[in-house]
This record gives sequence, structure tokens and C-alpha cells, in this order.
Amino acid sequence: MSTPTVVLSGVHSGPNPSPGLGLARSLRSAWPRLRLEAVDYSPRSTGLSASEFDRVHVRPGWHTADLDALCAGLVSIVESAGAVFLPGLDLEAALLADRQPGHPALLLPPSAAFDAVVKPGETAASLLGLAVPEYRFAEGVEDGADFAVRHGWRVWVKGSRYEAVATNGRAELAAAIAGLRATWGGETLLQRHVDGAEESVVFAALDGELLGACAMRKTMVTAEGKTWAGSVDLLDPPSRARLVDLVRVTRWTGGGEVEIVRETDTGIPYLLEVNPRFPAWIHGATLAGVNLPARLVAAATGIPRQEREKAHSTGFVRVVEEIPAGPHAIGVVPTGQHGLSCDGELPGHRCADSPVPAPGGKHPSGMPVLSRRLALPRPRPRPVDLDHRRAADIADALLVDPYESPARVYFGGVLDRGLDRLAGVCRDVEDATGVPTRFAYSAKTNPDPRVLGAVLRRGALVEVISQAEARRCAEAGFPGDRVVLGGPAKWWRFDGGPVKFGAVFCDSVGDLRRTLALVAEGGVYADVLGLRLAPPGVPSRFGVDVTCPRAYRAVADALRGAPVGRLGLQFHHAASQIGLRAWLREFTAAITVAADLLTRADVRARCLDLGGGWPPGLGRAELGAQLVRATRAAVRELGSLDQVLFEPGKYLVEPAMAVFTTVLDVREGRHGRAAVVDASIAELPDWGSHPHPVLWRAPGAPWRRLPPGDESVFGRLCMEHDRPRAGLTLPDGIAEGDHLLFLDAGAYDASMSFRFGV
Amino acid sequence: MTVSAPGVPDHPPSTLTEHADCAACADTRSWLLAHDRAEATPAREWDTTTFGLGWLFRYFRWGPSRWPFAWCDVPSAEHVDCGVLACVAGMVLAARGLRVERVQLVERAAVEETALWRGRWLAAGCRPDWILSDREVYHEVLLVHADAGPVLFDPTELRQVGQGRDRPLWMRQWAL
Ligand SMILES: [Zn+2]
Repeated sequence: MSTPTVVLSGVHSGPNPSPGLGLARSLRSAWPRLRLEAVDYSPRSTGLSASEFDRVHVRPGWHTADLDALCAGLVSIVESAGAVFLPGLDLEAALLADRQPGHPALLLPPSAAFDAVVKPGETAASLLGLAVPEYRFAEGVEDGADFAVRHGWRVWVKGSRYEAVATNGRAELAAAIAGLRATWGGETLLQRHVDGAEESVVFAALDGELLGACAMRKTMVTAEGKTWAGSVDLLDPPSRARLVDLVRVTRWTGGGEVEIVRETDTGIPYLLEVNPRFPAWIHGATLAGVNLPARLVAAATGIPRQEREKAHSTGFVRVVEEIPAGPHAIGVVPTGQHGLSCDGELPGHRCADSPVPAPGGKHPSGMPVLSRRLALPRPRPRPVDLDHRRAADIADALLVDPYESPARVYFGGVLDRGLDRLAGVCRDVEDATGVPTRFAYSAKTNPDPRVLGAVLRRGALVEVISQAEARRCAEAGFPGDRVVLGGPAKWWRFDGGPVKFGAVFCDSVGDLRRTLALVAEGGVYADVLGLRLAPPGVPSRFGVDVTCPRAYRAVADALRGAPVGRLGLQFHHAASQIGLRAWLREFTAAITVAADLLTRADVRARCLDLGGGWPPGLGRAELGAQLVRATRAAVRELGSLDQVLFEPGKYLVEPAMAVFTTVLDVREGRHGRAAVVDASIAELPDWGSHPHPVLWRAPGAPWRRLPPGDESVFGRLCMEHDRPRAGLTLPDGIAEGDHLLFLDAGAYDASMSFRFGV
Repeated sequence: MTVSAPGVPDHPPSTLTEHADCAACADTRSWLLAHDRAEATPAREWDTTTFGLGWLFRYFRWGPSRWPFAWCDVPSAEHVDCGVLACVAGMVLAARGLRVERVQLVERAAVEETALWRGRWLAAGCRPDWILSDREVYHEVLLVHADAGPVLFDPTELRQVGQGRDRPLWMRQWAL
């Protein structure tokens, strides 16, 4: 009888390792004389040099051969050795399940199991009793941003097959979407980041029967979030029962890993993903006394085990180790035999004679190449027709043709519908909470007289941050009791009054004392005098953090016996920056502490101002629901209220203006085409905060919306960063003299635009 | 259990002074309870490792405190010792409805540690009398009666004590 043999693939050991080496160590500890052969797809897979392996096979890269031939070659390696095969690469396993279904020597799940765990894994989650974090498949940065802004930009962008990138802002989001699409092909999945402790469950199964499982809590992670140390534990009986279901329903064979995060705020366990193979930390479980690779191989082959499972510890750490390696492995010899670098990407820029060391291979097993080969080819997207209402808005605004270019275009109808929506939100909040609710338009966002006039006619309030803004609103017709004054510089150039405001919110303890003095002297009259609360858990330069003990004492002292008629509390932190969930958490924490503080000072709050920074894409129901939740939390803590205010700015005016431009040039670049227009970041200064949708019109044709892609619009300035929009597909026929319309340019794009390069 | 020289402590656990008619003392207690309410999460209910008290360390670090120590000294303190932390944490946990007892311990320490701590306390003008010998220190913790059973909880290090090698040399319970 020949020596029992196991073939392992995916043996790279780097910052983001494959499991092959850990599998080898675990199998060795069960059978010291087992023959182990390694398979990988480039000599730069570092584990190929490890002494654990009796033989290594460097297979041709995924770009070269026919995929069926590659699978057949691998099967022939396994069969000729009379071996069984444990895959360490997700896509290789998926491909083998598809091309060699049911092969008894390939210890991997059947194709149907891959379908059950495909991201975002809802089928698997329901079997496992786990929640799935909110997600959306995103084609480009516009729909991606619309999703991300609701979650405070803290989202994961996941490749179609593999890899997840955490992002925390618009620029990172755009880069991640473009990068993952270029690396893996296909669609990208966006998923909300869940704050909490990460856990993994690793298991082995044969033909739908669970052979064993254990749980691991990550205790140290790398910058990429990969496990560096962990604590291993038994799986609790309910979780085990659910895992038995998953394994049975999918007829699972092979290793697997369920990655879970338990949310700190709610305690809810969420599924991150299910991996169709053993994880790279598998040997950590073996050291804790659960040798799953050995159980799998023993069950599949009937080879009797030589060594018993033994618990060395309940935790593990990783170490870095230098091992001897030959010239192909260390990169002295270029991997040029296939004309590709070790990443299987473009030809290497750095050769053996380069004085600069090559970067460690990020994907030495060539998974991106395989992923792109497996992705379905997609037709180039074409410009999209506009809905009737959008087309009518534009037709109403662009009456004269031709017109000046570039030009800012005002959509009065869009503003009116925004005001209708805000009035509806006020009614919804009032109906749900019983507290009279109004909004105060943030004048600085866009003080255009047409906007102020429309707000005035609706009977709404206006919010200002300086005496000059207050005068401008007075000139526009706002009476003093419809003006809310806030900000850190509210008394800058104050003429001594007397002056009247609907509400004044103080930004610091000093500001509170100063304002109380002005009120006592008779220079200022305010219906509501209040304090802006800072968010306790996120950095902000504004407001008072009453959760800080010294501020708590100072505010209590300032308010004790102060001549405040109606006291207000304001919480203003942009939900468009931190997300709706974090906003509510910060608001509730601040209000909870403020409520006890007011009790100590023996004063009651009458007015609550929920501030601005609401994501412009929120519908009436979403914004209303958020304000209702906040108002209810406040009433619970503070008691009944007379009034709720909120301060929309961008939310109202961002969609109400656009920038009309003319194409000056269309050029070919290394990364596709770019159109140069006669506008620039001087007309679109807020280009970095949100991706402006772009419409295109050829002479005599209707406006159409440009779809996502990898092309750009450049501005007219001689500045590298004058690229007001990237991530688009330009239409085939776009030419000099065509027009582009940048939508959603009615907020800071309008108020902060500047004259430059004209 | 026995402790070598200079013997087991005979004093009761530390208590913070509460000044009569001191608004600052009352404000401090109010702040602590308000802040703890604001930090409540469902996950805290079964957290018998930290009891969700990590927020205290946003404001203080462990170090020398000058006794007698009053509630109104808390907001301006940068460092607080295990006695202050046990008082503060005990009040907060009791306000959550948990039954809490004060516990005095004598624990092992390394010679290097006690040397370092003695220097720190002397540099701050505080008496290092809690360092009983080069290898033994006095420490204050809490016995918290959680749903899952009693837990010997160290608010200074936000962890459970009394297991394995950490087993104290001596210990005494006081009902709060
Ligand atoms: Zn006092």
C-alpha cells in the first residue's frame, strides 16, 4: 500500500495568508508520516518553501490555460498520488465543484452549497439564525454613496468573489468600488459596518454530516482585519444545532468557516460571510484540541489516526518566521515564463536587476485573474433616459437656447417639492409625538434670494450663524421671532441691540454666560434660550459635551437661577457624516446626561432643536421616522416639550440647482476617455462631498443620464485635481460642443463657488 | 490564608467624603449616574468582564489619590486609586439594581512593580501604605451579584479576579 497522501492548495503565507500551511501542520500532528503535497499557481506563494511539504506543484497561472484543462490537471495530480485534496482557495474550490462535481477525492462542498453561501449569504444566515447587515449591490459611486451616507460612510465594499475593504468616506468609497471592480470583475456589494466583537465558527463535514466544529474569538487583528491571535472555545449547543442544519441542507463536504460579528449596541449576531474552506487560522483550533482537518481526512479515507487530539492551550498567536527558500521563491528569478508578475497581473515593473525589492505578492495564487475570467462579460452601459418630471424641471429651467456656459441653473419646482416634503415631515412628527414641529432653513447653505423667498412664503423659520446673516434674513422679510441664531461667532459685530430672535443656541459654556448677560442687560430678547450639546462619542468642535464631568458642573452652575424663560437643547451633528444609527446613539446619550443635569439645575427644557446635516437622499418617511425616534427619546428623558425644530440645509437646496457646461474636448487616456468641460471645481467646489449625477445632451437630442463606469469629466483649470466627476461611462458619440449638466449643485457648490481661471 | 509581614489590613474599605450642602458633590454623583445611564446597551446586560464601565477610563487613569478624597474631587482628578474606583463603580452598579459588596484583597506583585509604584506614589506626595511589602499589595475590588452568579470584579483593571494564578493571598468582604 502506498503512503497515504493529501494534496493541499493555497499555501501562501503572508499578511493575508491562505490555509494550506496550517492544514499541513494540523495533518502532520495527527499523522507524522503522512505525505503532503502542495499546489499553488505561482512560485511566489511563500508556503511552497515550507519543510512541511514532501512535494510541491507550481501550476500554470489562471490566465494561460483552458480552465477545464487546469481542473483536469489538478485531478490527475490527486489521482496519481492516490490522494485526497483539500482546497485552500475559494474560487478554485468553486470551479472544481462546478467542473468536477462529486469527485470523491476532492473534499469540497457541492455547487449548491456555494450558491447557499454566496454574498451576502441570506440563505446561510437564515439557517444559522443570524442577521445580515444592510447591504446593496452597487454599480458605481452614485448609488454606493446613497447607501453609504445613511450608514455614516462606515461600510464594507466587497468584491464579487473575495476581498472586503472598509471605507470611511466618499473618496475611499469611490476608490474601493473602482479598485475591487478592476481586481475581481463583476458587481460590488456594499454592506453596513457593524461595530462589535468578531467571532468565527470553523467546521468540517462529510457528505452533509458534521464532523466537528469550534468557535474562535479574534483577540488581535492585522490592519486588514485578519486574525493575528484568537481564543478558541466550544460551540454552544444551539449554534451547533443550527450548523448541523446548514451542513445537512447543503450536503456540505470539506472545511468551512462562518464569520460573525456581535453588535455592541444591540447584541445582535450578524453573518459576515461563510467561507467554503478551512480558514487560515485552522491550526489554532488544532492546538486547542480540535483537529478538524484530521477528522475530515480520517472520515474521508478511513486512515486510522496515529496521534490523538491534544489541547495545548485555549488560544493561539501568530509569529513570523524566516525559512530557507530558492531563487524562484524569493524573486531573484523573474517569474517571466508566463510574461506575468507574481500577482498574475500586469507584467512586473520591477525585475531581478532592480535595486528596489519587489512588493510581496498580494495574490500569488492568482485569484483575481480567475475571478475576472469567471465574471460574465457585460455590455458597455449606455446613457439612461430621464423620467418625465426631471425632464420637465430641466425644460422649465433652461428656457433660452443657446445660453451662457458655464451657468448655474435654478429648479424652482424641485425647491417647491422639497418644501412640501419638509412640511410633510413636520406634520408626521407632530402626529406621531404630539409636539409642534417646524423647520428652520440653514441660510448659509445657499442664501440665494429665490430660496429665502420660497422659505419665507411657506411660513418656515431660518437659521443663521452671524449678525450679518440675521440682517440679510430680516431684509428678505423674516421677522425676528422666525430666526434661529446659533454657531460659535453669533455675537461677532453685534451692535448692542436691542434685537429679537426666535431661539438662540449657545455653543460653549462661555457663550452661554455671555448670552445670559446680554439677555439680562436687555440687549437681546429670545423666545428660546438654549445650549448646543456636543456628541459625546464622536469628535466635534461644536457645542458642550455635558458627559464631561467639568462641563456638567459648569453648565449646572451657569443655569442655576439663570433668567431663562424657555430653555432649549440643540443637537446638531451631521447624520450625513456619521450615519442615522450613530446619530441617534449620540443624540440619546447627550440628551440622557443633559436631562439629569437640568434636574440638578432645577430647570426644564421646552424646545428641542435636532439640527441639520440630513442626507439629501432621505425620503419623507425616513427623515420623519428618525426625528420621531429622537423626539420620543427626548420626551422620555426631558418630559413634555412645546416645540421641536430641525435645520435642513443641503437636504432642501442641494437638488435645486445644477451647473450647465459645454464639452471643450474629448481625450483618450490610459484609463479610458475623459471629457474636458468649461466648468471646474470653482463652480463645483463641493465636488468632493458627493458625486454629482451628470446629464449629457448632444445637439438636438434630449438630456440623458450618464451611467457608472471608469471614465471622467475634467474641468477647465490647469490643476491636476480639477476633476469634478469620475466613475462614469461617457457615451460613444460624445463630442466637442455637447452639453453636460451637473445635478445636485444647489448647496455649498452654489454658496462657496469662486471666481478662478476666468 | 496567611500573609507575611506587615500583616493583614484591619481598616475598612475606602469611602469618599460627601460634604454637607456641597452642590459639587451632588453634581458629581448625578453626573456619574447620568453618564452610566447614557452608556447602557443590551450587550452590557451579560458583560460580567467589564460590566460596561469602560467609559470611566475616558476621564481617569489609575494612579495615586490623596486621601481624604471627596465626591467633588472626582471631576478634577486625573488619577484615581483603586479605593476611589471601587467607591465610584460600587455606587454606579448599585444604582443599576445590582447587589454589590466591597472586597479587600492582598495580592502578589513583582518586586519591580512595587518599586515603580512606590516611586510614583511618593512623587505625587501620597503615602504608599497600600504596598505591604516588596511582593504584596493591598487592593480594593467588588463582589457583584450578577444574574449568572457572584463575580469578583476589579473596576481598576475592568476584569474578573480571583482565578488561577491571580488568586489573592487574602480577602475580606464588606456589605455595602
Ligand atoms: Zn464636595
